[in-house]
Amino acid sequence: MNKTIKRVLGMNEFYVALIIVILATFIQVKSGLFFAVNNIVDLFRAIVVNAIYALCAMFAFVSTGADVSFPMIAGMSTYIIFRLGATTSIPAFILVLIAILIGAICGCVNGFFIVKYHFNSLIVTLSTSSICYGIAFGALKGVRISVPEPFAWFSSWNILRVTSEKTGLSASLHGAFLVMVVLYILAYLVLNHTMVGRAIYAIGGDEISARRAGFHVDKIRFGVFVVNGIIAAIGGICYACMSRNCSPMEYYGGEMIVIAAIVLGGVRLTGGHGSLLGCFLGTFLLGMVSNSLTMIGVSVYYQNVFLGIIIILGASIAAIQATRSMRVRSDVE
Amino acid sequence: MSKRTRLDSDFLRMLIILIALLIFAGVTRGSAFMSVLNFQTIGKQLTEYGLMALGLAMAMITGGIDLSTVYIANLCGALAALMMKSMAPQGQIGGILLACGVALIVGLICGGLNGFLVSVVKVPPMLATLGTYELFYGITIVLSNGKSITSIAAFKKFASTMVFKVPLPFIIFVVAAIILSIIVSATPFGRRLHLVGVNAKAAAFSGVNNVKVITMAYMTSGLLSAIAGLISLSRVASVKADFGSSYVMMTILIAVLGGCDPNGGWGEIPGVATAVIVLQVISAYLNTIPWINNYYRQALYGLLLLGFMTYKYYRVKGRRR
Repeated sequence: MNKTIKRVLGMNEFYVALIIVILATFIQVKSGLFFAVNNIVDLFRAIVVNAIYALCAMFAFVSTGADVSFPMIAGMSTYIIFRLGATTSIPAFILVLIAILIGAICGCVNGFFIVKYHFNSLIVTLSTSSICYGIAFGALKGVRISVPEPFAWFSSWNILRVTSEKTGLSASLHGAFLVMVVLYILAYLVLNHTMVGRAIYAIGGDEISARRAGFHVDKIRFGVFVVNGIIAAIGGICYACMSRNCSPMEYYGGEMIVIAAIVLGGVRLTGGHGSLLGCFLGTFLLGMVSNSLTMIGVSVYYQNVFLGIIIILGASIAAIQATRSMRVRSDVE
Repeated sequence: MSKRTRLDSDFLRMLIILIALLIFAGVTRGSAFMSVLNFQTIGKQLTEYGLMALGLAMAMITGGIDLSTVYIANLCGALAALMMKSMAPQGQIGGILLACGVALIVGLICGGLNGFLVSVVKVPPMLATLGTYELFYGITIVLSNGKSITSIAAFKKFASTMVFKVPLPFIIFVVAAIILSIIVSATPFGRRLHLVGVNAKAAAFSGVNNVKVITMAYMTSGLLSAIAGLISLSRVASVKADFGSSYVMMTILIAVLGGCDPNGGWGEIPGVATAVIVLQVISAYLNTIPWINNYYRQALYGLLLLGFMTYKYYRVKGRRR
């Protein structure tokens, strides 16, 4: 029993959950609106896409390093299939397959340069992100377009609709939430119950040891980036369908908040550490901060300041912890 | 010894590319390109991201990266613009100088914060500067209420001043590049900078004060960004929190083109400075082609970066054999 408590206290996720509870109580006391049903549902709706992106960021960080290309991969692939859907009569599931294929190709490009040449993943993904940006805006004149016919049903598919008795405000949960749940379940199964999942953690922790242990480091790494491209494309479609239109510009710069979220959730940027629960909680916390700042009377202008402080504090705490554990280990030796 | 030749080759390669580009542009575009006015524009435009790229190069030599340069520049620009408005609405020289001084000090402090996070707290540089980037961006939004701040009329003259037909900003860039070149290649500090980048642990054991060296590198980057912010305030006559967000990509591209190794330890300033000019010449040349819009440029930079890194990979590999 004592051991369990100690383990929980040592978990980053525990502290994030604690912060969430404290913040929620604070907002509730201050505004009295936090635990209203509509606010909770709104919150879940708001974090769906970032939670999906968080998977990309986490896989990349755990196995290799930064991936900042997912928002533009999402933006470009979604924009392309929406244009196709508006002008042709291709059914929705083929369009989704096309988007996934585009995402996978972008992922292949990332993976190729990172695996074959051992380039810094931040720089490679920044380049692909730039290229996707150029394609979406230059070649395809990225303007705002509405959801085409094949996606109309998904766009207006709400799985839950609630109305708060106190305020009369209502909120609905979009079907994309289910997509997120399915992706998290798949990710959980792969990470915790397959050899590939073990390999992702192993190559991030210590590449040479992983290679000696018989993991195909290059194949796994390449695979991670291809999967990231695919998840990004799915996240992009969800985002566009939830907001009922697609403008590639809206995706631009979306990686920051996602990386901040997973860092808060305990994903270590040096690789090898990170959990899905942490990812989700981190995303939830940041979603809460940006959704609720106005509720407690803080101007929206302060949102980025908060975000910056959270990233810096989260990263500093993680860094201090890492240095300390290194010191303990060297003392033992 | 081998290091010396390698560094020179980076600078030389960029110089050859620059000359080839100028000849190519001159032949294909003729007098429209080879005019004094065009070169003045080139000189004026490159200064802002050129200074930031020099700062990034300093960070990259120590094995880090500085993603916050653009937002340090915007923060300092916004601060200076606000101070000038309240203290020197008619363009009193004292107020302007004070505002500039404060902006430069703020730039140093911002850089110092980066350096502190990287060297003392040991946050990975990418993440530390990502966090401060968001923080500085946020502070600028708060300062400006999310709108753009216009510059006072008198300060606009600063960027449009010509010295013997050479724009003043370009002279500032050249002077900064020369000073930094000397610091990096001919002083003990420059040697320590490289040593920390190659192997921080070995540097610490051989008596280098890593914290001081890294902090100094990031502070230099902050200072250069602040200067860039002031120049951009003067040139564009206004400042906005998200101005120049595409410069982040450009500065990284320039530093890598100029011979910096993202993993640290390699890189000299002359190569980077020449790469700045090369990129601006390419950009100016693309401007003369009507069907190429700004967005293609972004894609081209991405391709260039990947292509150049691949090229260097094979060069280094070939030499090792």
